[in-house]
Amino acid sequence: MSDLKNIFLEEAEDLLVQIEPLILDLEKKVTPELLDELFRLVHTLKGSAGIAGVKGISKLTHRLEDLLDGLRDGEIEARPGLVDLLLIGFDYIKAMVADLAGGQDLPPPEELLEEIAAYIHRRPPAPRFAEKKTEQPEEVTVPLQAAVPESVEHAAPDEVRRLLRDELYRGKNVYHLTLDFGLNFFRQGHNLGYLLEDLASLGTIAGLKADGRRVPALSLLNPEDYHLVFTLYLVTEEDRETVEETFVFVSSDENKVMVRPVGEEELSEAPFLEFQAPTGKPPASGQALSLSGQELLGVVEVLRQQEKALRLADEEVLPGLLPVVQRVLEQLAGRISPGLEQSLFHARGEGREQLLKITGELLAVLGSDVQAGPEQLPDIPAISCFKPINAGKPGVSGLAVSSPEERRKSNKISGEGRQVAFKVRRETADALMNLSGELIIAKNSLPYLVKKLEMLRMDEQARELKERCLYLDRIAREIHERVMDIWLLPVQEVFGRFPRFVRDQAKILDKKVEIITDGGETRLDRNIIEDIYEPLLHLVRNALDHGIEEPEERLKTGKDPVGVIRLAAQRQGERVVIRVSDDGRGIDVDTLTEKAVSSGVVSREEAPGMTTQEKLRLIFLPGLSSKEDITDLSGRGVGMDAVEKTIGRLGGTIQVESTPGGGTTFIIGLPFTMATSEVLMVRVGDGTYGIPLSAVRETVRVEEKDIRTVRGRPVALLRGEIVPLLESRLYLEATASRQGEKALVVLWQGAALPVDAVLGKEAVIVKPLAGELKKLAVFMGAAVLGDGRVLLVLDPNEMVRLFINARNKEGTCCAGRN
Amino acid sequence: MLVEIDLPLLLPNLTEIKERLLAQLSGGAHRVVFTAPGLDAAGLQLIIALRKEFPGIEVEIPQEGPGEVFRAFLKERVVADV
Repeated sequence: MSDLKNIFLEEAEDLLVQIEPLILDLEKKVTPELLDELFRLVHTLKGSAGIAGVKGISKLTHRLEDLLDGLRDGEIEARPGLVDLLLIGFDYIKAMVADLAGGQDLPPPEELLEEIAAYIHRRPPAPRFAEKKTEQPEEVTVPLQAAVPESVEHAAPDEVRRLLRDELYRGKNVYHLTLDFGLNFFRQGHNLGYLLEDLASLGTIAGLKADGRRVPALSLLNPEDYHLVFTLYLVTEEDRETVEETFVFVSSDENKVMVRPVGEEELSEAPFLEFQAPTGKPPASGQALSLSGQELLGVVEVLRQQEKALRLADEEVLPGLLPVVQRVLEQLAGRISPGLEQSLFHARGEGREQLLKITGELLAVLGSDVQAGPEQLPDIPAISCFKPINAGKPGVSGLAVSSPEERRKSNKISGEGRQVAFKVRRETADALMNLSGELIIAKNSLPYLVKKLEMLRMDEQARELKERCLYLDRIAREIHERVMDIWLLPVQEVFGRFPRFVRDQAKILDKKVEIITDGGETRLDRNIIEDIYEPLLHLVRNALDHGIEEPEERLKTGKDPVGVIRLAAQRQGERVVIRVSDDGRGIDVDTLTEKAVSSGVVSREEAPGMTTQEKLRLIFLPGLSSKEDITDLSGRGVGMDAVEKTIGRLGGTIQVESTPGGGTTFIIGLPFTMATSEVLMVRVGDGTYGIPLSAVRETVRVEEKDIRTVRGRPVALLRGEIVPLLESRLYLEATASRQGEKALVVLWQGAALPVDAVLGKEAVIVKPLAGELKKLAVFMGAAVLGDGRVLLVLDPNEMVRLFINARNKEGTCCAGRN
Repeated sequence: MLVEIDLPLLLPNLTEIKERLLAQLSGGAHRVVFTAPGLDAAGLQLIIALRKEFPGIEVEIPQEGPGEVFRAFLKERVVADV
C-alpha cells in the first residue's frame, strides 16, 4: 500500500473518531456551529481520500458533505432520520476504511448514495438556517463569468510556463483559474485552504498568486471581510467540468470563479531557462525555486553529501562514483528548477572537478555558501525555518533579514508555548517502554554496588559512585516519565465509544438514556485501555438493560424519564479509578440471594447471615443475574464473573455499591500502568516478596491486642474497621511471626497481609512466570532486582481469592471485599 | 522595538491581533514577530493590510505549522504594494 494511503488510514481513523460525537450532538440540537464543525471534518476526510486516490470513500464523503453543506446553508431541512442517516453513512465509511486497510478500495453501496440524495432533494427551507440563498435555483451551477480585472493577470514565470508546456505535451489538461470571492466569503464559512487542497487533489497547482490590492490598510480592515484575488494554473487529467465542480458549493453571484483552458500557443513563448552564473546569492525574483522549506533543506543536505563524497573518494572508487553523483546532481538540479539540469550539464564532463564545480553552483543557486562546508549546516534550518516575509523582495522597504543570532532568538520564541503532536508507531512505543524499563533495572543495580564498596571500606569510591548514581537516577526517571507520556493514553479513547452505543441500544430498548463522561483526560496504560473496553461495555450494557427503568416507570417513581449513565475516571496515586454508575432501579439483593440459594452457591442457612455487601458481591459469581427476563442486550445472566476476571488480570479490583431505587455504581481500580511496577518489598519468614504498590492501601503497625478472631478467622481492628487478615500459609511456606507488634500491608481488596518487615519500594519490571512456575497462580510474576536476585511478586487478587475459597470450604460464607 | 504576537494568524484571532498591533505599533515598533504557528487566507490578508498601514514594518512568522500554501505567498508573490 502506498505511503499516501497509509497516511490516509491514520488520518481517517482520527477524523471518524471526531465525527461521531458531533453527529450524536446533532440529535440534541442542530446548531450552525455544530454543522460547520462537522462539515469541516467531513471536508477534510473527503480531501484526504481524494489526495490518497481512495475513490470509494471519496465518493461517499462527497455525498455526505453535500448533505451537510445543504444543512449548513439552510437549503436542506434537518428532518427526523438525519442523525440515523449520517451515522449509517459514517459506519459505512468506517467499514470502507477497514476494507482499505485490507487492500480493497471498494465503492459505496448505491442504495446508500441514493438514500442520501433522496434526503438532500426533499428541501423545504429550514427557518433555523435559511438565512441566505433561499432564492437559489434547485440545481446549483457554477457562475463562470470573468470577474477579475485585467491588471491582476500576470504572465507566468518562465519555469512555470515550461512545466505547464511539458505537461501539455504529455497530454494533460492545463487550466488557468481566477478565484475572486466576495466580501462575505469568510462569513459564509468557506475555507480557502480546503478549496486549494481540493484542487490539488485533482492534479498539480502551479504559478499560484495572490492579489492584495483590494486589501485596505490595517486600521480600516475588518478581518472578517474578504478582499483577495487568487490566480493559479492547474495541471490535471480531469476535464473542466470536474475542476468547476470543486467550487460548486462556493460559487455564487458574489463568489466568482473563472476556469479557462490554457493552450500551447499561450505557453509557447516560454524561453529555455538560462542558467545564471552563480553569484552566491539566491535567485532573483521571478526565478523562484520550486522547493518548499523542508525540500530545500533536504536538497542542500544531499548536495553537501555528494560534495563530501567527491572530495573524499579514492582514485580507485572514483570511476564508479562519478556517474552516480552525476545522476544525483541531475535529478537535484531538475528539482531545484525544471530545466536547470540541462543548462548545468550541457557540454560538461563528469570529472571530479567538474562535478564539484556543479555541486558548488547548485549550492550557490540555493543561496548556500559553497565554501561553508558541512559543519555550517546547522545555520541553514534557521534560514528556512523562520523565513522573513519580505526576503527576496528588492525595492520594498522593511526587508526583514534576520541575523543568525536573531533567528536563533526568534526560533526560541516561536518554540515557546507550541505543542507539536506527532504519531509514534506502536513498535517504537513498545521498544521505548522496554528500554526505559531496562534502564530502570540497570540503574537499580548501582545502589547495591555502592553498598558493596562501603562494605569493602572503599568509602571514597562509594561516595563517587553514589553521586553518579544520583545523577543517573534523575536522568533515568526523567526518561521514564517522558516515555510513559507516550505510553499512556487518555481514558477518553474508551469513553468516547459509549455515547453511540448507548444511543443505539436505548432506542432498541425504548428507553431514554443520557450518558455523561467525566475525567476522560485521565491517562492510563495503553494495554489496559485496549482491554478495559469489554468489561466497561458489559457494565454499561447491564445498566441500560437492568438498571435504567422504562420512562413510564421512572415517571411513576418521581424520576426524570431520562435515565443517566455516568462514566468517570480519576487518578488516585498509582491507581486509576473508573466509576460506572446509573440512576436506575439498583440491584435487588434479595432476588440475587434467592437465586444464589436456588442454584446452590449459598446455603439457605447461610443467606440470612450475609451482609448486604456480601450479597451484592454474589453478582460476580458465574451464572447469576438479578434480572428475571433474558434480553438480547445483556445476554443470559453471565458475564459479571468475566468482568471481574478481566479486571483482575489487569491488576485491578472491582467493587459494587447499590441503592434500591437509586442506582448502582461499579468502582474499578486499575494500576495506571502495567509496563513497570513499583512494588513494595516485604519479608515474610525467610522470604522476600513484592506486592504491587498500586494494590497497597496503606502499611500499618498494630499491637497484638488489636488482632482478634471473628468466625474463627483472624482480623485486625483498624480505626474501628474490621479487616480480615490473609493467611500466608495458604500459599507461602512461611508465615509472619505472631509475636508482639505486627506489620500489616492493607490492600485495596479490603484485606491485610501480615508481614515481618516492610523493606521499601522499588521500580521493577514484572515478567510472567514460565514453565511449571506458571501454576503458582498466587504470584503474578517475578522481577530481577538490582543486585541480581529474583523477587517473586504476589498477586493480591489471587491471594484474596484463595483466602475466600479456603473460608468457603470451611463452611463460612463469602467475605465482603470492600 | 519589537512586537511579539503569540496568537496564530487565523481568522478567529484576527480581531484581537489587529487591536494589539494597532495599539503597540503606534508606539513606534518596527518589527512584528508572530510566534504561534498557523496562517490562513485571512491572516495573509491581515499581513498585507499591516504592511499597507506600516510600510517600513518587518514581519516574521514561524515557518512551521498549518498554512504552508499561504506562507509561500509571503515569500515573494503577493502583489501588495501597488
